[in-house]
Amino acid sequence: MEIKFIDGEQVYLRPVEAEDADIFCQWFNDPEFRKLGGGELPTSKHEQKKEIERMHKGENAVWLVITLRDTNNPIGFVVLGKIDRVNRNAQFGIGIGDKTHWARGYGTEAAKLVVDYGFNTLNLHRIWLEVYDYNKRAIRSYEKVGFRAECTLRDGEYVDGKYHDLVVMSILENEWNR
Amino acid sequence: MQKIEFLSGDRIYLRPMELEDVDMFCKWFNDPEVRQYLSMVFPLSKLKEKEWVEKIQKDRDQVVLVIVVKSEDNPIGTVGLHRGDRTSRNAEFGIAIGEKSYWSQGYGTEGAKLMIDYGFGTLNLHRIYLRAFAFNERARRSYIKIGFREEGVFRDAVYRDGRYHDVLVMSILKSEWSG
Repeated sequence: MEIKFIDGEQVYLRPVEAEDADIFCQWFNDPEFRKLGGGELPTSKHEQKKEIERMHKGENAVWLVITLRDTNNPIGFVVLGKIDRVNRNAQFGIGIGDKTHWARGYGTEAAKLVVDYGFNTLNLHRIWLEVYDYNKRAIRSYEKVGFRAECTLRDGEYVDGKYHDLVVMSILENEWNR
Repeated sequence: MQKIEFLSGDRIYLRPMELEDVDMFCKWFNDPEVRQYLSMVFPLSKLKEKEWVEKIQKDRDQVVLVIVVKSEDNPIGTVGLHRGDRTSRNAEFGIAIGEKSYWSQGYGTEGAKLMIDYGFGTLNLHRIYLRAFAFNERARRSYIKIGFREEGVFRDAVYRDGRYHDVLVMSILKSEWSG
C-alpha cells in the first residue's frame, strides 16, 4: 500500500518510517554524498533509528522520503527544519542518496513540492538553505525552484582538507505565490 | 569577595556567570529597549534564566562571560561565543549591554575584542560570525570597527514591531584578526 503525503509528477513524498534507517545509513555514510551534503561523522543504523524517532517527536521539523512514482523506490529525503513559528521561517534541506538518480530533475521537483507545502500549508514567510559553494548542480537546481543567493558565509565549512564558502539562499512567500 | 577576572582589558574585565547574576540578567533581558536588538521575544523568568546559565556552563561549546567595568566593579552586560561547528572551527558571537546608561561608550567594543582574541588565541577558532538586525546601525558600526566584514543579509528573517526585517551577517577570520 502506497502512502503518499504529497504527490508530484515523477516523485511523491511520504513520511519517514523506522525501516528507512537502513537506507538512510547507506546514503549518509557514502563519501560522495557526504561531500555535497555534509556529515563528517559516521552514521550507525542504531543511531539513525533513534534519530528517526526524534524526527517524529519534534514539531520543528518535517522530514519526507522522496519516492519514485514508477517504482515506489525511495531515492532521497527532503526536510523543512528549524521551523520558527514566530518569524515564520524554516531551513530547507535535501539529499538524493541514490546516485543513479542524480541530475534527472527529481530533486528539483521534490524541492518545489515541499516549498509549496511550506508556504501554502505551514504558512511560512521565508524558506532558506545553505549549500557548499562548489556544489554547482545543487545551486542551479535551487535557482530553478526560485531560491536566491543572499549571503556567503566565508570559510563556513571544512571539507577535504580546506575551508569552503557556504552560500545561503532563500525564497519568500510573495516570490513563490506570484 | 575577591575579584575574579577571566579576561582582563583596560576599562573592563570579563568574569564567569554566577547563579546570583540571574536577577540582573532578568532585569536586562526583559527590558524592551534592550531586547529589541536581541532574538528573545518571550518573557524571561528567573527560573528559566537559571536553567540557561546552568546549561551554558555544562556546555564546552559555549562560553558566556559577564562584562564588568573595572573602575566601579559594576557588571553591565554579557558577551559570548556560542556553539558553531567544531570541525569547521567556527562560533557565533553575541553581546548585550544590559545597563543602558553604559551604551555608546565603547565598553561593548572592548568586551568584544577580548572575547574574539580569546576565541582565536585560546579556543583556536578559524571563523567567528554574528547576526545583527539590519536596523541596529550602532551595532553594525561597532562590529566594523572591531574588524568584522559584512557577508550578506538573511532577507526578512526576523519579525519585529509588526513587520519583517533583514538580518545582517558579519564574520571575521583568524587570518584577519591582529588582536
